[in-house]
Amino acid sequence: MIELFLAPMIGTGTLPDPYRAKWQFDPDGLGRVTKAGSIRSARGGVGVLLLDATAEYLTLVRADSAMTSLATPSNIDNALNNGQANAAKTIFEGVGIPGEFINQGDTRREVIRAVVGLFLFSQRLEGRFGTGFWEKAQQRGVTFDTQYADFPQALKDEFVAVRDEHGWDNLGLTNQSTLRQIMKRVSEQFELTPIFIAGEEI
Amino acid sequence: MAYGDNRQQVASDTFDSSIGASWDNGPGDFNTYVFVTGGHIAPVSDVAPVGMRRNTGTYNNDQYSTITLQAVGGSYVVGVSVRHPTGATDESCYAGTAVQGGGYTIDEFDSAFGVTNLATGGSSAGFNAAGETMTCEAEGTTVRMGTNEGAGDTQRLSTTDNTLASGRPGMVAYDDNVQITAWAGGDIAVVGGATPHGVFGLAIHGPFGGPFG
Repeated sequence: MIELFLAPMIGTGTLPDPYRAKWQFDPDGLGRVTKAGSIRSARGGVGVLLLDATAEYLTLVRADSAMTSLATPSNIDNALNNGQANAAKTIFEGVGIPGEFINQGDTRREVIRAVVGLFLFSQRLEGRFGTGFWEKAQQRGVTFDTQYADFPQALKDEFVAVRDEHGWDNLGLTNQSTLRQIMKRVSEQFELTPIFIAGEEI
Repeated sequence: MAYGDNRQQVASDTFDSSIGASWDNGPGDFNTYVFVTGGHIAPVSDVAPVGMRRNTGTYNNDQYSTITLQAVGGSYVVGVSVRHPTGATDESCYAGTAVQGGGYTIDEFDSAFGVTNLATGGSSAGFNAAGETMTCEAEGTTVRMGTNEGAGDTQRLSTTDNTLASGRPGMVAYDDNVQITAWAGGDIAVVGGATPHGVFGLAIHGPFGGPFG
């Protein structure tokens, strides 16, 4: 059975204990996971985890309050109702994903792809500068509602460097754009990107 | 594009007499390979992991790396890698591996020698004979790995990641019970412009049916 989750990243980065999404490896070594993979926001952040595992294992994962079930193959194209969207906004805001990524009427697939788009930008930032987007913003006292004009210069420089590397323009953003708006726009730049997790295309 | 499409070889090596100067052997914190009489290479000892990257030739950001197996024995993890940066002390790369008794993996090494497991799956039990090949590809944000055990060169695993954008091909291993007899690497060429798979559909559709149904 296959299911997608939002999961915290765990691990210490060694070969016996690599960085990975929680539950990506069967903690008991019982072979209950056939395949698994994740796309992370940062090594110390959160990730979208795909599990192909036994029903028993997935039940354990769903029971973990640190995990959020995102979709199964049967519901990934279902639209979120108002209650589902609001509940998801609360969870996402708590882990550094703006609630703007989730709206009533969005399908689960659309939300997941938008979130992954943000994660891909954050990964590039981490690849070049050692820390993901949200973690770097937090380190510098920047919140979701901070305007670009008030970002520390170092954060601006890093954002511009990754922008230029991707060949983007200012994406319609201005000095008054908030971090929320910036995260939404950079996510949109990956709308056409193929997304694979453990061999499955989302 | 799909696994195996549009590969254009830039270089190859059959390790006939040595590990030549076209390799950075043991970049960063990786341990080294050693030449083995008979025209093979192997990890220096059971001190994982080992790695080396090509230091000559020009490679596109979209690239592949292929190793040909000579032998494996006992416990082993054998792999092939792409997008190694050229910094002397930087061991970053994407690595596709086969784990003895386990499955295939795609891992990402960072410049601090931290490892992130991006994906694990399949059974690698059949990857154990001389002449079999393993390939890792990086195309845009897609990383794929495959082997040619059984019926031809077949993709075993894929993932999406944007941490590493460019670099050089190479190889890695996490155990010394491995001998490699040949390597080849090169570019994945874009033909007729890049196709946005997500919008126009893709040959491979898993249970999620592709991004737009």
